[in-house]
Formats: sequence, structure tokens, C-alpha cells
Amino acid sequence: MTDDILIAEDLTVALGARRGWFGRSFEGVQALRGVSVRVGRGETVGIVGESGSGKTTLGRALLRLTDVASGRIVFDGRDITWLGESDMRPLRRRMQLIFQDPMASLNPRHTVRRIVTEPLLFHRVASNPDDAERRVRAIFDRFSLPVACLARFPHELSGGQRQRVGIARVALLAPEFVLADEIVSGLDVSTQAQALNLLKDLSRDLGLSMAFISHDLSVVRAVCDRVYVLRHGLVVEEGRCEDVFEAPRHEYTRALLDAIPSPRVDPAWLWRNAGADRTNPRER
Amino acid sequence: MKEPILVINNLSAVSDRDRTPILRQVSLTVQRGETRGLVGESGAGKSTVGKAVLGILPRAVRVASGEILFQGRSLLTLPEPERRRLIGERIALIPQDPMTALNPVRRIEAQLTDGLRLAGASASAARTKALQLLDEVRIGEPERVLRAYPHELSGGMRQRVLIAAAFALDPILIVADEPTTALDVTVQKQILRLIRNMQAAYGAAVLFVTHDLGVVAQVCDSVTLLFDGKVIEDGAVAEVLEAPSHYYTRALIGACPRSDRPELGLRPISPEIVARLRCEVAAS
Repeated sequence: MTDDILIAEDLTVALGARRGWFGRSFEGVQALRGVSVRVGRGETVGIVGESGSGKTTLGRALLRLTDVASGRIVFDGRDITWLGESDMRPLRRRMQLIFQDPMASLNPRHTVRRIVTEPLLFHRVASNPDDAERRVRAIFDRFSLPVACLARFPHELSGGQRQRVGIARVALLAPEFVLADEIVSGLDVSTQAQALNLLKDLSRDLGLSMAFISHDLSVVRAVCDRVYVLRHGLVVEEGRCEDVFEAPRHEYTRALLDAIPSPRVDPAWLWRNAGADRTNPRER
Repeated sequence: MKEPILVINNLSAVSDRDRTPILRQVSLTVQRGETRGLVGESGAGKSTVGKAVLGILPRAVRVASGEILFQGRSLLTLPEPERRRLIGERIALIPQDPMTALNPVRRIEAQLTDGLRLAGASASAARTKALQLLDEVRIGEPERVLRAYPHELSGGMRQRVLIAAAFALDPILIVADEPTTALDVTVQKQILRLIRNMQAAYGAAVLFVTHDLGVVAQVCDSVTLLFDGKVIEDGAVAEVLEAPSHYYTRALIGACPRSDRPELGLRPISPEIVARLRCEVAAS
């Protein structure tokens, strides 16, 4: 199907696997155990799960930042599963990543101007520094980021501004696919809503395809068309957001949904669906 | 029957460096057995209030005026040794990050019995009490956990250990500073329920610092909303959340993504509202 920009079939990833000396090997931790996902053109797909479910590993594998043990990744009709770094390079502009923590992903010693213009010149999206500056100013205007921010360093911006700079840096490259990994988890609700709306507008205007990784189901519901629920390296449920959220089929999805505290008083909520109340130290 | 455990009257604090106001005439009361939510976005001063109660304000923050009464005794004017003793034995903290709050090179037993030993318990009595506490926070195999180091436990287990430590000395007041922010939603629900159960069993009052209105709705009896160091709204949870009287409260509730009401969409707090409120607060 050419309708899908990204297709991953039956991915397995083992973390920490190694072939040791004299046959001493370690098969690693199975972070993904046969995961298939697809992202349609212009579609925003949610990938949800709790810590250790493999959602971040899946995202990294999709962008070929982690090697897979088996399975197949097809980007825009081309099998990229085993492409070398030099063959991947031209594709890197087209598949971008927005990071969780902009404080960690924006170089603290570079000005915002350098941070956003450098990729433009590197990927030859802008023909010269003036062109790059023009493009940057246009997008800053659109993102309600003051132009004065350009001369500042990341730590001088507010958390919401930093996250918008991170999104702007990616949007400037006009990628076809964007992976957003927990990009609003550190933000206040007001700035979170702003960043999410920005992302939604972008995906609509640029026809962007997006994989949106989050542990927060209410955020996924607000921005995604379809959703994959991951647990212990397996997809336990997938489907259109309306269907999955209105009528979850898997018990784990139901537990996740029920665990979201809504800002409406519900005296029964705390006592509903206890789950495993006594935890055992052997379960990690 | 009401019995005020914690009464804060017109507490103002400023930054020592440039005298920027951090808290502006904050007043609130926590009754025996009550859970009071203290909410606001980052920088609103909610954690500062909690730290002022515990006497652990950073050096850069100075209390300018106001009083903090704990069971009628003024914490800010009490002589240092007496104050430390009172806070140590009667007020406990459940910290935000279970990863950093425990000493990585000491076994759980040593960390759980510190307070008990300081309060005069014998080693064997402290150990017995520690086992009982671990059982109360519903940890299976408490013996095994006592021997463990923090890194051997999951995040949820560590938070349970910290809750056990908080209740070790039979506190009258608990300051819970974002106790579930670092946890997965399903674990968060278990921990919230645990705090609720422990509080009921021990009859403690809780000052629950959080940014999550959903958590407030489900576990708090009353709530105080801060913005830029000022109390914006205060009252019973049902009243404040269902019929907010202040426009900022309404905007904040509106900005929460709602998986139960997706048709509402995402409504960020407009910059005009924030700017208007900032002016009003600064002028007051």
C-alpha cells in the first residue's frame, strides 16, 4: 500500500545483546517482541504504554536509531531495515524526531538562532544564511515566538518556548514523517495544550505524518487518529482512537483508561478496579 | 468536628537576591483528617509553601511576613532545636521523586529505621516497626525489601517505601509534594489509594502539592489554587472544580485534556488571560 509512509512489520529488538568472547553471549532484554505498526500519509498515530512497554524503543527503531534483531521497516516504499548510515543520511531530513526534554536536546552553548538555522544549512533546505534567517523568522512568527529569542540561549527561554523551538527546528526541515516522543510530559497543562495545537496545525498544513509516543492517554486522544497500545514489547490493542477509547477490547487498555484521573469529582474512582494492590519485589 | 492542624496566615516570601515576591499573603488551613490540594502551574509557589512548612526553604528564599501555625504553635518563631524536633516527629514529607529521595548506597532497612532510631526506638523495635509499615503499604515479602538497595526496587515500590517512612513516626501532618508525578498512571492510582488509606488509618492531615487537577478531584477534600504566589481560589474541591468563581480557574480546568470529553478539544490558556492575571496579581 502506497498510502502508508512508514510500515514496520514484526519488529523485534533485543537491548544489550552481545556476542561475547569464546561463545559467551547474552541474548539481551527483548524490548520489542514482534511489533507491527503503520503510519498513513497525513496520519497521526499514537503509541501508548507505561514505562518499560517498549514505546521509546519502537520509536527509535522506526527511525533506524536502534538496530532491529528481525523484522522489516519500509519508509516511502523503500526497505530501510538494513540501510547503512551513508544511505540513511539523505532520508534523515525526511524523517525527524522531536525530543522529550528540550533542555537536553537543545545545545546549551548555542544560541537559538544557531540551533534552528544549522540543520537548514546542513540539509541544504536553505540556500544561504539569509534564506535560512528568513525561514526561521517566518516560523517564529507563526509559533508566537518573539524574534528576540533567536539571540538567546536555551536556558533563557521558558519551558513552553523551548518546546516550541524544538518543534520549529523540526518543522523548518519540512519532513514527511515526525516522531514525537513524550514531547509534552514536562509541560504545564496550559503550555501543553498550546504545543499540541501547534503540532496538530502543522500536521494538517504540511500533510505531516506523525507517530506520537506518550504515556498520557488523554493527550493521545486529543491529537491522534489511530492508536497502538503497547505492553511488555507487544501491541495489545490497536484501532481508531474513537473505537479504542469508547470501547476498549483489551483488559490492559481498560485499566489504563480507568487510571486517568479526570478533573471531575468522582468519589468512586479511587476505589474502582484495584488491580494488584499488593506488589511483590520480584515483579519489576 | 473541626480541628485545624496547619494554619498559614498571610505568608509572604521574597527572593533574597532581587526581592521578587514568591509568595503573596498566602493563607490556608488544613483540618485534622483533611486532604488539602495545593495546585498551580510551575512557578506558582506551591512547592515553596510546602517547603516553608517543613522549614526547608532554599537559602535564596526569605519569609517576609506572615505566620505558620502547627497545632497552634508558630513554626517560624520557635527556637531552632524545638522546631526541628517538632517538625521531625510530627510532620512528614512524601517527596516527588522516589529515585533521588532514597540514598542509593544504603539498604532500605537503614533508611526506614533512621527516624525511629532518632526518636529513641531500639534497633529491634525499629526493625519490627519497619516490617509492619512495609506490610501496611502493601509490599509483599517485607523482609526481602528491607535487605534491598533502592535500585533493586521499581519506581512504585520505592514510592511505597517512602510512604512507609513518612508514616513511621505517626505524623499529624503529611506534606506530599507531587508524590505521583514520576509514576505511570496505573501505579499512580495505587499510590493515591494507598496515601488515602494510610491517612485514614493514622488520622493525619495532608497538604497535597500537585499540578494535576485530575488528582485533586479524586483525592482531595479542599483545594487552594495559586498563581504567581497568590491564592486565586480556595474552597471545597467539588465547588472549585464544578463551579469555579475565578476566570483563571475556569481557564485552567478547560486546558486539561479530557479523554472522557474529547469533543471539548484542547483549549490552551490564552496569553491575554495570563497577562491580565499577572497584572492584577502584581497590583494587589
